Amino acid sequence: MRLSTWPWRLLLLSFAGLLLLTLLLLLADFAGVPKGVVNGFFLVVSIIGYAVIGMFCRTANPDEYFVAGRRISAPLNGMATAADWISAASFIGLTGLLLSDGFVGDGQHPGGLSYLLGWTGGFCLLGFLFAAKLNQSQAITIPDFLGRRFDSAAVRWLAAWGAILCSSIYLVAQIYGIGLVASMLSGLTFELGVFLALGGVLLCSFLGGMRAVTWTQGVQCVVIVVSMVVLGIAVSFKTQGHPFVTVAAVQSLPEIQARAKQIETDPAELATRDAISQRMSNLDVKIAEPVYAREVERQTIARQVARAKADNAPLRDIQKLEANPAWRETSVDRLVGIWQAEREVLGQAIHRPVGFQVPYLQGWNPGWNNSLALIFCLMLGTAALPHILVRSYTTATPAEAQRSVVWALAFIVVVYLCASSLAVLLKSYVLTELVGAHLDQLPDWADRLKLRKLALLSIQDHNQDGIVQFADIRLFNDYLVLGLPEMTHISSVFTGLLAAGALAAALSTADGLLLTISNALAQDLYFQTASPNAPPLRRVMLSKILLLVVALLAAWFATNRPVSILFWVTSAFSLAAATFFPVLLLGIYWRGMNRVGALMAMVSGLLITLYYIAANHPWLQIHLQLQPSDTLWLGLDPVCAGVFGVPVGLLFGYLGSKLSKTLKN
Amino acid sequence: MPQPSTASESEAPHPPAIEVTALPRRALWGVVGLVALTVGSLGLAWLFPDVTLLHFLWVAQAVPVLYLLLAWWGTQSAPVTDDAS
Repeated sequence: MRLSTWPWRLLLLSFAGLLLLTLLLLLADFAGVPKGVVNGFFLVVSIIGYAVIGMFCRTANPDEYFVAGRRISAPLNGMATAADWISAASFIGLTGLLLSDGFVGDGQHPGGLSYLLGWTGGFCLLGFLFAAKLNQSQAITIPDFLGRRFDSAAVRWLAAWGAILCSSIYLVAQIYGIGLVASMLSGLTFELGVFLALGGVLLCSFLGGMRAVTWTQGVQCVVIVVSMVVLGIAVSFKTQGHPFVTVAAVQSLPEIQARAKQIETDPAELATRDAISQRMSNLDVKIAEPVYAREVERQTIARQVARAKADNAPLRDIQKLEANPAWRETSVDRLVGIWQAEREVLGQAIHRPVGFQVPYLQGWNPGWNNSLALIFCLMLGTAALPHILVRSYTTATPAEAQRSVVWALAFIVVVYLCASSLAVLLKSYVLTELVGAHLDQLPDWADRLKLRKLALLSIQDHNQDGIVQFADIRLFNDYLVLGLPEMTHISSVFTGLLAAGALAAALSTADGLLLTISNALAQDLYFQTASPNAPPLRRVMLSKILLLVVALLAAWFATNRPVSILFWVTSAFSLAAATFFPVLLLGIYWRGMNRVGALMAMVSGLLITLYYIAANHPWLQIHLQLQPSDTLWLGLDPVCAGVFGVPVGLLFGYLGSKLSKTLKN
Repeated sequence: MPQPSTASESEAPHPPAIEVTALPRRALWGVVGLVALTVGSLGLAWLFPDVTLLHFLWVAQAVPVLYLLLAWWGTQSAPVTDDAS
């Protein structure tokens, strides 16, 4: 294996620098330096570090800007691919997801293992099917590859819009993640956090394109892997007294299972679940007759407020009564939306497993259909995401491109092995320390997680017994792992380190996505149609300007706070799978595939997937007064839309090619 | 650190034609192995839904490592020549 010296010096330097910084900040923490200063240091050092690399790697050479000179070694390209792929959602979200949804699901929805297998297995498909062929083509973008394969500007144009759509959805979710982490680390507002971190992204990708992004992603991969591994070691030491996190998780599992069985049969827990079910039934009645329900509730609240005022109740109690959405909300649609959201949260509270699976789960169930469908979408989506595919262009040879996929998978597997072990250890803390505690004597970490600016935990005493039951607890899974150092009482420096890893994950993915979108706009849409003979320097300059515009637009969208990062990221996988997987597979391995087939494959796959996601979105269902049973096919969740889009794309690609050939003859 | 470079006309003037070839045998077996490993592992987990230790050790820990080995094995024989450029 050929390894040139200086890139490895840079990566080793970043590894040593990160460890040294962590040690120094640990000392500062012990010396009593405020937590905000320690965490802010991670944020500032990270962003400055990435920006400096971007400035050193600045280029206006098209080959360097678009494909990093096509001479990146397999290990470094693998590191860049891993950082490109590990998003904020998968880095900070997977642990919480496994903790909340369990391993095999609740019998209705997919379990956390589906995400773990789908996200890792997709790299096998990428290595087997596409990496070498894409590298061999010497193309610049995926639309460029498809346009040349089918000798069609229309195919390139459509593929460019497909790439922009998939990448934009993913990009907004990443920038949202950046805002969350940056505001948590710095104490700034969410909006300022977004724009501060965006500065780091832009300095890197704007100045140096793919070359700068590759080197930055190499360093970011070091930060991501080191932060997760170090956290795993620290938590393992704290809980079991040794550094092996998998072994610590195995040691904790029997205790978790015994405690879960105890909780599942506890009368207080059952009473809580009954109270929640009753509340859900009441909400169903309100949602069915919202105008009438609002009037009844308003009259009740008015009486309660009048009585409270007459009794000289504290202002806080009166404000609490007036905070009821039925009192303050003027729009019936919005009120129904609030009630539906509340119902969904309550449903999750009683359906999610106490341990890692719901009890008595026997026989085939809809959750397993959903698990298989989700794995299918995530695997094919991983193998067809445009910003991951373009990394195959940056190595010197097809074999190096394939080897880089294996390297990428190695780094991702290390992160996920730690994440799944940490989920087990987190569960152990929740079940043993939080469940059964008195509301006025909660563990110290629970109070801190509740009161944080970015709340990670909320508790509602549904059966009013003053004791926390499992169903009373709501954990904010998307970023719960950030609270792990507080739960396990290890230094808050580890929170900063983990957040630096999360920031690196979000920034690296955002870098790759920004480049993909701006290159599709400039290379595949503008220059292809308006100015095919433009000089190389002009191409680079326009790509840079578009990159800036796209980044600002995405930041603006992200500040509107999309509801669920994981939903949008998973939807992007389905869209990428349906749009690109059929056309790439047939285009690379079937001689009979022609431009008509390619167009039909992409359009049909994309449309069917978009339709399924849109038709099952709660907003549309409220406005069209639809029930999920009206729009769900085979009971599959909307994030699994690609399971319909991919076969339809393959079928239409085949039929389109055959029919057009027959008609031509 | 790499030195900042300047603009040049380095776009490939004649990019190579994109060849359509059959799926290499090893890659095909790799895909078959991936499907078998995934469905088999999930089937095992579903067959024993209460054995959390099996879910954790086999599906959450061992299968990703096996995917890595499979990816390494499946990409060993280069399906296309290295001197394409």
